[in-house]
Amino acid sequence: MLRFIRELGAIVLFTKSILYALWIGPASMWHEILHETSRIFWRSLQTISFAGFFVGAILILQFDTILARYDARLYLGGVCMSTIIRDVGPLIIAFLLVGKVGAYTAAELGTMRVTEQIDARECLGAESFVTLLAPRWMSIVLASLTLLIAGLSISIGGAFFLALIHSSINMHEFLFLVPRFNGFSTLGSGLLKSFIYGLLVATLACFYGFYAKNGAAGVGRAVTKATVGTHFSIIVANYLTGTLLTALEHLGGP
Amino acid sequence: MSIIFSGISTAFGTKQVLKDINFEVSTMTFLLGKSGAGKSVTLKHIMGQIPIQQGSITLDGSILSPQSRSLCGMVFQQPALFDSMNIFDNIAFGLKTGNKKERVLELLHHVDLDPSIVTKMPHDLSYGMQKRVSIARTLAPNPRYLLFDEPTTGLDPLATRLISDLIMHVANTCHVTCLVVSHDIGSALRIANHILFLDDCRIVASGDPKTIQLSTNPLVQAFLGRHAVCSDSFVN
Ligand SMILES: Nc1ncnc2c1ncn2[C@@H]1O[C@H](COP(=O)(O)OP(=O)(O)OP(=O)(O)O)[C@@H](O)[C@H]1O
Ligand SMILES: [Mg+2]
Repeated sequence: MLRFIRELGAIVLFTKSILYALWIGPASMWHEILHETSRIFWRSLQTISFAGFFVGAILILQFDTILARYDARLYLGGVCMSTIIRDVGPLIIAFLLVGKVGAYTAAELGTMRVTEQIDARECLGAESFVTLLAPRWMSIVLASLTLLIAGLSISIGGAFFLALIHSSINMHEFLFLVPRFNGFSTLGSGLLKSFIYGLLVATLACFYGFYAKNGAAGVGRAVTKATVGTHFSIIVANYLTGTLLTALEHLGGP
Repeated sequence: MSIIFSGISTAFGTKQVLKDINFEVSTMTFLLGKSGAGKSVTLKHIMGQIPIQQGSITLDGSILSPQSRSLCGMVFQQPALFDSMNIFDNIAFGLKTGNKKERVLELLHHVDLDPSIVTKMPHDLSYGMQKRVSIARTLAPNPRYLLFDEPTTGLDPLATRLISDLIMHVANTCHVTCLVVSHDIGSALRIANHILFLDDCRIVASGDPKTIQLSTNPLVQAFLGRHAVCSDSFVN
């Protein structure tokens, strides 16, 4: 327990140093960030799209079976899209990002650490937080957010496509109740969750990769810690934001 | 003009690694010792990677600071080349201003490498060539002191000789003071003008190669091995 709290503290301080480095970093850093963001985005888009499509499709199959039983297929579009945007979409896509972006980053930074590349950079005057971690962290946050938005859009497309061919409802019926179930709060909730998951992926991958030690086995441990830790924290974050947003909606509601 | 260690003591938790270490780095100093004796820790103190706990290190007469540290360059045990960059970018990494291309070619010449390799990636080069590139990269910002962490460990005898010759060549042509951490007594006897032995947290023997060869310290004797047998020829 004590170790967990100490590690949590170290992660918070680490994030603080990254934010500070972003603040004091040179303007040229942002060029690198944009370049790196687009690199991560294009590298991962295919996986995310593929998975996103099937997330939408699976949800349609599930909901269709249930709603058809109560002759409530008119609700299919609205309920399905709300579920995708609010919860299931960000969650599953973030899990994929952990494997695709998080593991890659932890392994890359870990290898740089154990092959003394990070020490070599520092000895040549390149401060690690400013020149290495902050740009990478920010790129992952931005890329994760854009990938999550892209993934969610494709999930919705997948749901729509499957609804049309599987559930024998037409476009008008599918879209009929969508606005009722999907207000600003749904969209806000999806975006907020996507942003938080992006932060978690970036922070834990950078943290465990950067502090890896003891050769190849150490890099393996860093990657495991980063991926398992991020999965775990995403689930906890999902619960916490869900609770918070529901409470807020109740406060704001009638 | 040198690096001076005065009363340096270092412990990690309850484990004492260095205890009241005092020495001065002269033109070509070799620091030898068993594995785990604290040789790398000594270098890391100079580069600021491990903070000094007790004692002080002075560089050119003033206490070591981030500014004065920029006068030191470190060559790591592994080549530690940045594998996402080509050779040119690797060597130019520490260069802030000036004609980078000219400087990179000049450095390649110093370490006896062909200029055509600049567009290659680190994994396209042999280990020995990577080692040379890493020396060139460290030389780029014009350091006055060069620190080597086990430059010849894991190399065959021929490559070992080539690298130690290169160290001597670089020291002479670039006018840098070298501190070399090593297990390789052969290279030390050949090129060093000052040798230190670290054991049990302390410097147990120090002096020029001649003095070291006559030392009666058991660790030094063990290191000397066959070199001790032929010490007569050396002394003569
Ligand atoms: N950052 C650190 N934290 C804790 N202990 C350390 C640290 N760095 C080194 N040590 C310990 O200090 C001791 C000396 O380590 P050092 O790396 O200096 O040995 P060395 O003489 O360079 O050995 P080798 O020849 O194997 O490289 C070792 O016991 C090591 O475990
Ligand atoms: Mg060492």
